[in-house]
Amino acid sequence: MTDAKTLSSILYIEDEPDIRSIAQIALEDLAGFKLKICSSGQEAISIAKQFTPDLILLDVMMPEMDGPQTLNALRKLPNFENIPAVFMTAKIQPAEINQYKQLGAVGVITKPFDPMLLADQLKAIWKEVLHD
Amino acid sequence: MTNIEDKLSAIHTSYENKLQLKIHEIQSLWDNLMMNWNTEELTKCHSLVHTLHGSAGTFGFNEVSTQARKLEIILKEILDQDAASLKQIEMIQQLLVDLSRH
Repeated sequence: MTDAKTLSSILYIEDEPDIRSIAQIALEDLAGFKLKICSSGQEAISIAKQFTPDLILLDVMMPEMDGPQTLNALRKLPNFENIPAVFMTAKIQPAEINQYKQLGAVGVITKPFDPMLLADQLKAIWKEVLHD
Repeated sequence: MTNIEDKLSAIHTSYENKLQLKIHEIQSLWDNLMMNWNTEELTKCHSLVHTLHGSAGTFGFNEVSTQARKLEIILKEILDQDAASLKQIEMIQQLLVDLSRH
C-alpha cells in the first residue's frame, strides 16, 4: 500500500454521530475522498468485506470494540494487513500516542480537530507513509 | 462551496442546539452518582465527558471543550482510584456549574 498513489479512499470508524457528520463534510464534500463511514468496529468489519480503502481512520474510545480492538480485527482480514491506519483521540499524552503507533497506526490525530484541516492532516500522514 | 458552507452552518447549528442537552445529561448522571455511587455509571459519565471534550472543540465551542477536559481528567482520576475525595467532588460540581452556563 506504499506505492506512489494518491490517497483517495478512507474507511472511517467513529461512534459519535456529530463528529461523524462534520468529518464526512470535511473528507467527502471538501476533500473529495471516497468515504465509507461506520459507527462501530463490528460494522467496519462487515463493511471491510466489500470495501478495501487506501487508509483506515478510527476513533480510539468506542463502546464494545474500541479503536485498537477494531484495528486488530481488521488486520486479520484479507487485504487489510498493511493498510495504513490513523487513530483519532482526545488523549494526547506522548506515551499513549507511541502506544497507538506500536499497535500499527501510522499517525494520530488529536481531538478536538479543525474540520477544515482534517483532510490536509491525513494527506500529510499519507505522504509520510509513502516516503517510509 | 456555498452548498458546503450551508451544510457546515446547518450542522453547527444542530450541534449548538444539542449542547445544553448533552451537558444536562452529564449533570443528571453526576447527580445520580451522588445519590447512588456505582462504577458503571461513573464510567458512562466519563465517556460522555470525553466525547463532549472532543466534539465541542471540533464544533468551535472551545471553552466548553476545555472545561470538559478538566472534568474528564478528574473523573479519570476517580475511576483509577475507585474513590472520590471531597475536593474532587467540589471541583466537579463547580465545573458542571460552569458548563451549564453555556
